[in-house]
Amino acid sequence: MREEKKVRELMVGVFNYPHIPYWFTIRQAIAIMKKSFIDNEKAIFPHVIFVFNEKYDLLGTLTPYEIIRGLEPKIKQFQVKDAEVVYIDENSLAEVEAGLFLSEAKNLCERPVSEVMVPAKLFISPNATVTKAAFLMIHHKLSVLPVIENNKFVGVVKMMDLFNEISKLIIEEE
Amino acid sequence: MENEYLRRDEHEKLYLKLYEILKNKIEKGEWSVGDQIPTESELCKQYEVSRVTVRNAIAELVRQGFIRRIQGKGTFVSKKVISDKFSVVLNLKEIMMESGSFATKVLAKTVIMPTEDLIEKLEVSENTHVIFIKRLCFFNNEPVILQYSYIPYYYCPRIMDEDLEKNFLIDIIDKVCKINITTIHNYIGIDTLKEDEIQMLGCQGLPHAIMLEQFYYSYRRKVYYTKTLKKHDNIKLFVELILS
Repeated sequence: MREEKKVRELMVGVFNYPHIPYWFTIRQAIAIMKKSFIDNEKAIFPHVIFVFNEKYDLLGTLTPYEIIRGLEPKIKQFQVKDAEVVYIDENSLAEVEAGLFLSEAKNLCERPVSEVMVPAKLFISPNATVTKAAFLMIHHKLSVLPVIENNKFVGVVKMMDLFNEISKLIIEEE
Repeated sequence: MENEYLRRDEHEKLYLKLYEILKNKIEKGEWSVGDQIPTESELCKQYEVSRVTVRNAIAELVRQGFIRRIQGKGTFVSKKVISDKFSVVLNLKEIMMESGSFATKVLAKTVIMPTEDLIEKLEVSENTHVIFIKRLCFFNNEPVILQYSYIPYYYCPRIMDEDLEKNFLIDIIDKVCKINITTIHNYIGIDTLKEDEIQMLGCQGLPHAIMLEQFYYSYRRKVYYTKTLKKHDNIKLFVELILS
């Protein structure tokens, strides 16, 4: 088996992705998501926005998934939380549908992104192995994993690049 | 051509000095409306400066409305244009330097994506990373001025590692980023402070502030934008305009 790659060789720079401060609203994040990824031909996957604080520390990440979840009307959020089991009947779904593009979603749009982002709690060193990064990402369902070197946010590892790397290992083994 | 020579102690501002000299000639009436001014090469010889310097000085005169170019004929002194914009040259650096008891605190230094108004103000594309700096200035330990600065990241990534409490932004841009700021466009107005700004400045009940918007240019290129808010109090801003 050939030597495993390090995170450093796989990671991509942080400036490939949009940056916003935590006090931006969901509305502003939507606008940025749209301009940077959807309307832009150079868009790279996954669609992630980095959320920073005033001291320029990474606080979290935001993908379309978190944005849409942030716009979900409150009625349904409570049901899911209290019931433990996800049970959606036609009525509550209809409510959600009606609420999404109406007044409630418009109000929810004004919430800060810090309330809906995925908080950045897990980091990896550029010297760690690709496998370690893969384990962290699958266990925590992350689409990107921040790479930290000397307390500085230097890049991210993307799931697709990990997949590519691991697939090479597997296929070449055969 | 007695007493007309260019001092070269500050090489980078040579063209501005030439601009001043030529502007003086127009203002004093030495060159009057309709007169053709000497050609670029004549001016090069006369002031012993490079063509680039002459060209920049001429461009500045055109921009300020003192002269105009007529294709195939030459450059002529134009009619005096009276601007409807009240303009003074002033920046926070000078305000702070005037008094020793100013202290600055950096509240935020981060990278953001430009919002709609910033795209327009900085003339950048919507997916440009922009450095956002928020500073609060204290006078005798009292918060007085709040300043927001926005600089496209690609101009000067190193700003992120610089000390913005002890250094002036304009100096960092100049020395670290090697961008020579030549012109600052200033717009003065009144702004209504937002709730968080009122709290930072500690001016409950007095929500209005003097607003100074500044656009910093390096020759024709827009480099950065700042918005300065000074709260309603009894501290006056001192601005000295030196007329050449």
